[in-house]
Amino acid sequence: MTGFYKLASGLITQNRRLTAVSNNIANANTPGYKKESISAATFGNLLVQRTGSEPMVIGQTSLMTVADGLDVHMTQGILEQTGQNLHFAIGGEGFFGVQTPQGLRFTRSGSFTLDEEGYLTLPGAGRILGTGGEPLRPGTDEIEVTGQGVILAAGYPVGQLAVYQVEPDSLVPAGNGVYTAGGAQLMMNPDVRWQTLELSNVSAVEEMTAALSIQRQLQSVAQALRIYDGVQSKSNEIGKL
Amino acid sequence: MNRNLYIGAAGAQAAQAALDITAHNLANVSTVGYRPRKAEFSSLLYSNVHAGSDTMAGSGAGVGVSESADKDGAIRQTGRALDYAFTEENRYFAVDADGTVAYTRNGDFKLSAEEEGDYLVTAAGYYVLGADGERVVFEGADALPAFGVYRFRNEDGLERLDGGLFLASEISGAAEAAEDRPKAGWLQDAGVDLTEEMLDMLRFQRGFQMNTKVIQIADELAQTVNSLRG
Repeated sequence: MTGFYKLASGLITQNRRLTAVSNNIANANTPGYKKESISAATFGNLLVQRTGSEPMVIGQTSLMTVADGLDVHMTQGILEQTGQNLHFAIGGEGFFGVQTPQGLRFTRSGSFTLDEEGYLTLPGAGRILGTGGEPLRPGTDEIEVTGQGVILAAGYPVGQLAVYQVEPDSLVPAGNGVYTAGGAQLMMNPDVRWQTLELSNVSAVEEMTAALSIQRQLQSVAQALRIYDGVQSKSNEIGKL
Repeated sequence: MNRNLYIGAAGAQAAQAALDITAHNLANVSTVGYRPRKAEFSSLLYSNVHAGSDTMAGSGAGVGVSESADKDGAIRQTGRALDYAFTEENRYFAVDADGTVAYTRNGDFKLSAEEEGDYLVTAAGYYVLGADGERVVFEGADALPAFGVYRFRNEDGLERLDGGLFLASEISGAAEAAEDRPKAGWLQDAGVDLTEEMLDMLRFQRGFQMNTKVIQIADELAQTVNSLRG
């Protein structure tokens, strides 16, 4: 009967993979969004043994595949010049630091605004941190930014945008364009671009192809499940009187 | 099972909302002093793919409106005595909108001839206010009226009303008096960049189509699963 569970877990896994693909397509226009994918892994490996007078191991099998983890693909998105004073992007590695109620979070989305107290803010997430670990407060949108993200408001320096390097494997998306991550360290010479946004790195062609392939794979699994069911029903007939 | 359907729907709704904003900008391509808005997408909540799993998956995209399309339109000469435009960014006229002070960049004014004098009013009939908070009197084409001219700490934080009017908000900060004077006989065009808006429209339209495709695929998957027991 293990075949049933294997095939059913295949159905579920394909469905979960489509979840990631759907989310990529939905966020194709979200600045700083990074492509995500679900990786599948086998689960519950069992040893297969020959029984009888001389039992021996003939191999391994697994009962099912499961959605094992969400991978974030950190390739660079296209940098688009928007000419707007509160738009920032990072060329190459690094993340902006966001102060959220849940703690320090990281983002590649530099589509900032000012909140009612004049702090630089990622809408829906939190305030943006400077290199001193404090949120940056320009107070006005008439700012100048020099290389490496030093912000000047009315000629006076407000602070420098903090850009963190994190453990790439520890990134977990938390919505609103922010990630949790471990091993954060301030980067020394970040490539901060002003009046620029990083577009998402989602490729529409890739995602639609993936969606179609998932659909067909799921149909194949469904077909196999039907065949398996057919075989089972035949074996049920054997014992009929 | 239906999570994918909802992700597709959220994506399609976001694309639709973004299209609405673009359409609004395009509709106002000839509106004097109009400041375009921008659609800003963001990812939505992430949650576990199933109970007890560490694997997180997103739930689509949402769209917000950004006022930070700080592109003021070009100013053009009209020769009409009652037209005024600012050459600087972030400068506003104050008007008395039924008792509240609102701000506008639209300097296409009219005259209201009354016993005490000829007052300048907006197209909607609101009195234009001077630096002293009193109504501005028009004293002939040769004299620049004593307009109150204001700027804001954070122009993008202004609250938008109908008819090209704005209200000062906590985010924009209170209006600050500015020294600059408007130019008579000039008007400011809408800051809408047609090429950019058309490009956005194509992008959002394709986004909408792709998300509806996702809905369709999710539906077909559900159908496949439903027909397992043939």
